[in-house]
Amino acid sequence: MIPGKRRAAVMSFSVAILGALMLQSVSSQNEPSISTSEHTTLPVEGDAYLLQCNLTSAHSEHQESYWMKNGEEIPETRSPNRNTEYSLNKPRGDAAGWYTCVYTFEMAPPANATIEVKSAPDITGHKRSENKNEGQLAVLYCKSVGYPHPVWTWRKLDNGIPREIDNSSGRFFISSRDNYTELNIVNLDINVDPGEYHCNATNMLGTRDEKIVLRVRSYLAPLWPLLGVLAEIIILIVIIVVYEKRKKPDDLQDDDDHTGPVKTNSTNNHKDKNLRQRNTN
Amino acid sequence: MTNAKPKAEGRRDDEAPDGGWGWVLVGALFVSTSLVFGLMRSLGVFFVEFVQYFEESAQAISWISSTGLAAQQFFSPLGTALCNAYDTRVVVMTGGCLAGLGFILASQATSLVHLYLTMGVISGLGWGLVFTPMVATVMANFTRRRSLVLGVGFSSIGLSSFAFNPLFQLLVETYAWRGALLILGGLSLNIVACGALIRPRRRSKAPAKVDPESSLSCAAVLRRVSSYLELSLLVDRPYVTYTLGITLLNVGYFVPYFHLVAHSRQAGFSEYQAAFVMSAAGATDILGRVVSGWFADLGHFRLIHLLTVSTTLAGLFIMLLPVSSLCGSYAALMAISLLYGFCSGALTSLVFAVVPLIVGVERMMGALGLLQLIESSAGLLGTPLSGWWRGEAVLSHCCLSG
Repeated sequence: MIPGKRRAAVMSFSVAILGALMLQSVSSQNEPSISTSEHTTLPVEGDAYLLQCNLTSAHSEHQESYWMKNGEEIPETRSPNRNTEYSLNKPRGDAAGWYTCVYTFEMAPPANATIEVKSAPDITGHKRSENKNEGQLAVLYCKSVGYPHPVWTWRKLDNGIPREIDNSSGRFFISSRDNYTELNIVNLDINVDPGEYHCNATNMLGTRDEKIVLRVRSYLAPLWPLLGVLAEIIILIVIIVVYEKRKKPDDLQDDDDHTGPVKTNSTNNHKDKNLRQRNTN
Repeated sequence: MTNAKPKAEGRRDDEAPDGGWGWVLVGALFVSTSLVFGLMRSLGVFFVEFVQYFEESAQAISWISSTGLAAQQFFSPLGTALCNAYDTRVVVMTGGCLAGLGFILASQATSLVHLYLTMGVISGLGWGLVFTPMVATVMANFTRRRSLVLGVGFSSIGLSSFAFNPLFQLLVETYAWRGALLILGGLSLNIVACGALIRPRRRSKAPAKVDPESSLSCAAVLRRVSSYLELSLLVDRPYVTYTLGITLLNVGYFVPYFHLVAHSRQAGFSEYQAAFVMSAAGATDILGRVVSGWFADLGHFRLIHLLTVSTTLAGLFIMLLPVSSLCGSYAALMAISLLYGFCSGALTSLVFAVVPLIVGVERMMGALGLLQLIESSAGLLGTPLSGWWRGEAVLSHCCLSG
């Protein structure tokens, strides 16, 4: 290699490296930095927990700041402050999630930082029992609160032992999403499907179980009482008609014949024919 | 020689034996009335299910029971005419079959219109063929104790609504509303058994109207039909006066039942207290029916006077209701409601019992049918009118004195 060319290569290489280093330091100087309060786990002591964000350094003046919870903006949290706070009052399970403080800039993309508020899952929404007819669709669901979002499992109680749901008949469909899970059973089978189902929510902080009782009504079930009632009515009518037929010759004529003056028991007519008496029949 | 018992002395054609088989008929009236009106009043449980299943508004669903009631009252003259023409027993048993059929068909309904037709029209027709003929039959079998047995018979409405509400709730939960309606249809068929208890009674009406020569001509048929329907009563002045009075009464009769709860809530009482007032008024209603029937039969006063008195009192208590609630005193509201319930129950027993005194036992059947039809128009009008005319209904009670 010609000595002059080697020197040129080394020179341009070192310029490139220097340039990259400089670019690095310059850009890191421009990126805003935010300091946040600690990630925490519920429950906390005290009535409220404070989430804090402080914009420690920025390349330009920020416009405003606001908070987001689980990716959605919390209303009425916009403020021009550098040091922004969000207070969780009496935080319970539904306060858990990931909170983000966002700073917007005029000429640059917004900057944000995330604080995680974790808690063990708690199942808040479920139906204690579900009654459906044969062949219908049953939807069993469970809702939970807590963060991180739990892993859902469904089990069926079989002779007192919870067992994974056997989907060999292909009628069970489970769909789970964040804090909600659904177990759909199509074409209910009255022999196999009724029983106790458990939805289980588990995350790294804890686990929770809830039970739902599924009852399947058969289409034929109401026919038995109906037949019983019909039998009772027919028996009653038969008894009434038979009773009437047997009594009829004797004294059912009392309403019918008014064919003349009512006879009295007076014996005026018979005894004394000699006596002229006026009969008052 | 038959062992004929001596007939009651001086018994004329329109005096009936009080007692004996009559009491069995009272039992039949009790059961059938409870299966007609008691059932009608307890359908609320089903309406909740219908709202959910058919996804219609509560108002659309409530039309079912309105249709049923309207059909029952509209077909009453038809029922009584048929009884005049044919045998009462057959008519009542047919009505029972129709009522049961309506509910059994309703259990297969797939749309709201089906329910209107089955639970409304068919069952209503069945009820119309049952209620008035049964009342007329029982009244025909009693003279001295007429009001008492009517009171006992009508008390079944209140008692059965108490019993039916939890029963229907249980049926709906166990069998779903379709199964429950099916079973209800079966229960309604018990009316057929009640109808079977009516002994065939030969009355002078049917044979006298058959005229062999001209029985096929149009005019003769019309004449017969109008005699069965007792249309001649429409020009009978005492009857018309009475009917108009009862019609006016009906304008105001239902007002308290619809507005009492709302009124109590408005006066500042809790939901629970308001509902309790309604239940208490219902209980005294039952009591009032029986007691007034018993008292009327003691014979100290004329029935029409008793009716006027209880109607006036009922009107008076309705007037006092706003006053009592304005005072804000729960005890006063409760007391007035109890008294109102008693008077309203009292007049219910007497309304029917007065009819044979006006038109005679012979024409009583048709008279009752026409009465039901005419007073139903008032019931239809009354509820909407009451919405914007609360206290005025009282005046109608005073008009009854005529």
